[in-house]
Amino acid sequence: MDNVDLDQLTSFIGLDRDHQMRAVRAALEALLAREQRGLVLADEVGCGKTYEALAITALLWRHFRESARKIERVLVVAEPALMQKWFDEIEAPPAKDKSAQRGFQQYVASEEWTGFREMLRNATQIGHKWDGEGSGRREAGKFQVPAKRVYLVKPLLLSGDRTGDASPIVRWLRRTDWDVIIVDEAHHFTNLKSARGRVFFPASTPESRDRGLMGRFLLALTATPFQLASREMVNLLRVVLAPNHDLEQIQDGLIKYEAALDHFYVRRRLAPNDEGRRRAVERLYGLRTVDASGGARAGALGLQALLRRYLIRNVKDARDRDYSLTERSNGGYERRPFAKLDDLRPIVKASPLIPLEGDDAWVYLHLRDVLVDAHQASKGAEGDEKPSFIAGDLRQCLSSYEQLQESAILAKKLPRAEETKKIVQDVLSRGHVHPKIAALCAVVDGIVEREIAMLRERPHAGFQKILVFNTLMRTAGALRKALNQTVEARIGPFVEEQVRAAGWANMDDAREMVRSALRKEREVVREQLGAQFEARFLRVTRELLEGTGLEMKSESREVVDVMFERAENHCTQPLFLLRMALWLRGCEEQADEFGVQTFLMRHVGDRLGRSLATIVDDYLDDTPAQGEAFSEENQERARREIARLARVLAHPEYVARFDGEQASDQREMRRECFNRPYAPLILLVSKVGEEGIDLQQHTRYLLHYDVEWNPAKMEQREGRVDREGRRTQGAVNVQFFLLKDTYEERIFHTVMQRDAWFQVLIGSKRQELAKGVEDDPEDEPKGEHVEEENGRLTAEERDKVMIDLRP
Amino acid sequence: MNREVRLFDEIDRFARGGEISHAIALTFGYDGDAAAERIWTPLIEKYGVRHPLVIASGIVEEGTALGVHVLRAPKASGVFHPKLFLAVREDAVFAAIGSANLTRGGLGANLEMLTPIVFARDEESAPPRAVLRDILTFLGTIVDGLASHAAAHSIGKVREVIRAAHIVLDGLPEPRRSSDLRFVHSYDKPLWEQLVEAHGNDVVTHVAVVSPFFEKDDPALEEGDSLLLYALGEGLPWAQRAKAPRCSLHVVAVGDGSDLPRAALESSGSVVALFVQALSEEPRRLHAKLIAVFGKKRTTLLWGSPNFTPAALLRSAHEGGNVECGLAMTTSAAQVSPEALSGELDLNKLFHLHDGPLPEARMPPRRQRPIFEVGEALYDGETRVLSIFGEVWSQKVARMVVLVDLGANKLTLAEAPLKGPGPLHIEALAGQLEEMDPETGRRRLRSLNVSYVAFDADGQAIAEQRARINVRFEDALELRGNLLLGAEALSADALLVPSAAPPEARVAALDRMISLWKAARHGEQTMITRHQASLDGFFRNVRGGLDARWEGLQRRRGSCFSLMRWSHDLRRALLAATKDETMDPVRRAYLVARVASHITRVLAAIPGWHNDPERAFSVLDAGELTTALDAVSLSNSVRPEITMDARAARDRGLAVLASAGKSGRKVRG
Repeated sequence: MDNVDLDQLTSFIGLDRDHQMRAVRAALEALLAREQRGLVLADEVGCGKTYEALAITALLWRHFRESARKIERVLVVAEPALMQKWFDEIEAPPAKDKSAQRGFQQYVASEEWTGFREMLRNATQIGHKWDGEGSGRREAGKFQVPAKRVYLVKPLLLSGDRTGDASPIVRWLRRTDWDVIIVDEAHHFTNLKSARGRVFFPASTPESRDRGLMGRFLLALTATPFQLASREMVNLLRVVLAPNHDLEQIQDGLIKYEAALDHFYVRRRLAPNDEGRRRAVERLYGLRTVDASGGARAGALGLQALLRRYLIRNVKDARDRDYSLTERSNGGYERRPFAKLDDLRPIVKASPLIPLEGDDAWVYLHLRDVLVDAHQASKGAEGDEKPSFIAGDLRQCLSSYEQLQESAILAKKLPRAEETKKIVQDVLSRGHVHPKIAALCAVVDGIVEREIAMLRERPHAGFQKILVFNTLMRTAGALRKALNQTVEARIGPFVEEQVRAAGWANMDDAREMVRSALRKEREVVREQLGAQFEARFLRVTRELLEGTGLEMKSESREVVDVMFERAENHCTQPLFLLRMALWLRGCEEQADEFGVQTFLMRHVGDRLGRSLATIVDDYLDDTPAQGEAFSEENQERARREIARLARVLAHPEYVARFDGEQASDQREMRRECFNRPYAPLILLVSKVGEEGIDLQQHTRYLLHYDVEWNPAKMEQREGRVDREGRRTQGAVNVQFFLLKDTYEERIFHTVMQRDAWFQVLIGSKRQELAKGVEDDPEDEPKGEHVEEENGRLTAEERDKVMIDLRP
Repeated sequence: MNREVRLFDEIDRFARGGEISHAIALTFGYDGDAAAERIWTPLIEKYGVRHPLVIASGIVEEGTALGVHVLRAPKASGVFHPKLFLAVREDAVFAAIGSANLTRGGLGANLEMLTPIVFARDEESAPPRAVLRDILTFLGTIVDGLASHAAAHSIGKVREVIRAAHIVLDGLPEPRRSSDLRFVHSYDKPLWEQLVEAHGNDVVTHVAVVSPFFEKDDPALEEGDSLLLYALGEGLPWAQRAKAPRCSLHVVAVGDGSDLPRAALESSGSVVALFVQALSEEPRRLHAKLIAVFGKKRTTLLWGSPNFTPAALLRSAHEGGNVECGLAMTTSAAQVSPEALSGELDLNKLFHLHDGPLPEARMPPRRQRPIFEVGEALYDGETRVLSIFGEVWSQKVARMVVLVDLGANKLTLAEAPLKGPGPLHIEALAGQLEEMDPETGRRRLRSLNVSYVAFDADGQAIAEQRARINVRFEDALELRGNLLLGAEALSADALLVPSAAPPEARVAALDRMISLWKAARHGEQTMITRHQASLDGFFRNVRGGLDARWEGLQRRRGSCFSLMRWSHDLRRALLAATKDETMDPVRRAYLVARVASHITRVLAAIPGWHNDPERAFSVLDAGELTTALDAVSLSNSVRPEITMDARAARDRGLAVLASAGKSGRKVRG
């Protein structure tokens, strides 16, 4: 394999970004030239890891297509919440017109890739719906899954916990000799004790990796190669089958490097030219570049070189995000900007944040008492009642009273619990708004107001949306209610005003015109489809629509009717009318039937028509080799695509939730609608949506209603928006909501502290880390400024200690 | 004497790692810096002693340790000469009695005799209870004498120590077998008389005296005024055939500078053997004092503060003698023979028989009556009033000027006309004493030294005294350097934690706060006061503090001492809450409600802990606790329901306090 021409190989594919291609090349170098079994793609969130992984797979396929060992079976291990995304990326055919690009197939559209596209088209999710009956194939002396396909599977199906009741396909799955395994969000698999950990480490020990899921090539995808401890990173390298002698060196090196970092951290207040501080930096530099073993091992490499073998990490420019804290000011709430690597304690200390006062402080103090009571009671009792998780209960209180009211702690038989519950009920019954909800509503109101002002100036700009992260379910309900009111109150009058300004008498007038225009559009599309396909292919059955979120009264109707009915609802929502009114105004068109027709044709009709044609063309009108009219798989694909269209054409409220309380198709609907210019304007996202999914298209504002302990998770949250494909202008506004003087301050500091050091260890945000010294004009008076700078890394120090894993 | 007793080591042993709640020292001469270094700072920082007190006379250098409260004993009659150290911890009292002053000499440079005694339930060789009782009576008499000489606040502090020790004493059993140790002092009866009484009718064969100072030759004195002659004659029931030398005098030296009564020595001749220390191997200067009376059957010892002088031994303080104190003990003659004593104290090694000529006779200098004296100047950081207490003796004094001593220049703080002899009491607004500390931006005292100048009617300065001011603060730990930290350092909620935090931690917390102030100042950022700092911190302080106190009380089954401390701590916390106007009303309501229900809980538990609950109720100052609890204002700036909740809890607390107060008074009455 020594003579692989990587330049030639990589020239077969052209991902959009240079950094993506650099990662692909580096990966192929590792796999083909250095003959490694796998590697970790650890790009920061939003750099396009999915496409990198698919491109590497494609090029491996291409490289081996003439050899005896072809790439025929690809497995993608992905979380259930991300399944749809993977399908979209893998399965969607190359779009015919460039403007509507989506999916990976666009990069492998040419003839040479037909075989590979075939694999992608045959993407199969392994689960209960498709048990693969009769499709197992005996190869290498065992039953394996059929070749020439991409398989998608949820991790828990693989963990072997339910061997007994696994369907044949799952059994085959485990026996199959996989050519490429792509593990998405691979950091979930590094905790050996967890169920996911057992996918690769069946006995929960590092040694049991040999018996875990194996493949010829392994690609692990994660933006956060370690969450809390660097040993997780070592397990990650085990997943991608890094050889033991390297692992040992890396583990040892990481331990030494972390110790040296601690050492440096203790000295960070010293002046940069202090001997002790300098020595600490030199030590780090030595470990990083010269010898990870610190002289303990002859001929060892530096830690950076060792890690680079197995970890590739593209980093982004940190200037893409503006961070701020929410703080009360003159009765309202304002943003207090901060930079992530600032010394945040004085900033937080000096800021009023969101004050917790009066009744709210009273409840908080009572709850704290209850928690201590409960803890003491459980310590005293011999019974097996476990001490309650104090932090969790406190966070409920800090989240909302609706949440707190349902908290288990208040249901306990403790004298103060009852008292506290009464206080909480009283607070709720008086309509007292939780300070954080009040703050969030105020902030959202301000954003909506600004956005409206901007729309007045630039009608074509589009509304920049708001993403709110919140982990607690009851709170999500309360937030949705409160925010809906806030947004409605602000945006309702504006819509009406614009609709009138465009020339309609009122909203209903506009709606009526939209409906009639849609009816015309429907006939146009019907005609187009009728000309293309036989009538029998245009009819859809109730059975086919099952599970798509569409209802059908009769047994069978034309697909065009089903969709246009849906579209009618969608196109009469206020935000649609608003966009239409703004568009008309922007183009100086009349609000007459022609204008409406034009808008609808451009924004709905044409696309809908194309999509329906594709569905019919690709799936319903498919003629499989076996001669079946509609194969199960094709039907499933059609169903998925119809469901997608149906989702897009939904009419959600201004504020929508994306969490475990909805069925997954509802969730998907909201996600897709959020990525489009209409409602919802605000998406309330729980842990379910923290990873992997795309929410970036129209989003500008990211509000952390609560804080996760883990900086990696916070990074993942922000990665939902700060990623490739965002259409909004300017940096993403990331805003924190912290209650003054409470537990939240502590969580925040912990997270930010961890974050700062992780960034050094795995080399993120180089731009931000590097700025500082050179940004300072020479003649600026020193003194306090120097003091402040002492706590941070200087530019030279950064250059010396940051581990750089860029490809 | 030869075996070195280091005061701090003894206290250290006594403390057993716990908290020492009170400490007081009586001394003649005081070197504040030396004492702070050797005793006070370690006690404050290691054992959390609050407000150590010193009552001193003679040459007093208060030093810079503001946390130590120094009072000057009146000089009116005899010399205030006792040396006594008293420390109180949970259910135990430590006393050190001997010859050592809190001066550089007393703390190491001199050869002293110091007897540490521990009064505690589990003490093996416990002395009789009467020893402690008499010590406390003695202290009480001293406090009575301070009345016009010190601020009521300071006197109250001394009484608090006595009271705490009394509560310990009340809980002590009489040891079954104990020595014949007695505490003696010179207030009511001359010490010599007490010595003779203790020895009884057993005929005396020999007297050994160790003393650095003696009576002086004074032609004005009658022969009977020579203690030496008196002791050799009718002062003791001498045996008919007592051998010469009847008396061995152990002195510092014979020669220049050593005051020995040449006249008396000459007239007594070979009856007195003179031993000097000067040329011995012991480099430390003799300062120990001891009188040993050897009889046929018994030996009686007296040691402590009195030198071998008439003023110390022959006259009671009421008769113009010194204020002295010491320990006395009588044993069988067989147990303590002259040889045994000599061996025990290494007298034969430390002293050598003097064979040479007697020293020159020296006239004592005339003792001048002082013109005036300031006993205490107390600065109240809250009101910024300086209160000066003392006494004027001279008719000539017409006016008094109080000056802040700023080294190079002096600033007039107050000027007051005076009308001759009588108590001195001046109050002056003394904001000039303060300045802003440039480093922290906090208030601090500019100077600790104040001069008092007395002028006569002609405007001539006729006398001057310099003294350091005391600072009125509830907790010595609140003072660091010259910073007046006061309530802002330890606010109501923070005061509730100390039992959980060791003193070192509290000191460290203060230091941290000071460095925060400095940092904040450096960064020109506004510091948030502690109350606003963290609701979580507030909660932990209140809840953790109250829980820790409850556990502490339970562990000690509500011992009287722990109840006294408990009440004291709660009062301080409540007082701080009352004063702290910046405290958020919700927090205040919470504090009141929780402290009140805590009080209710504790009082309800007392009958279960004590067979005699009345006594327990009597120590906890129900009345004062009631006042403190009631004084915290529950403002209406929060929702009325919150205030109502807190009021209801407080009313329940006040009700149980009222009934506790009633049954407590029965006992005290």
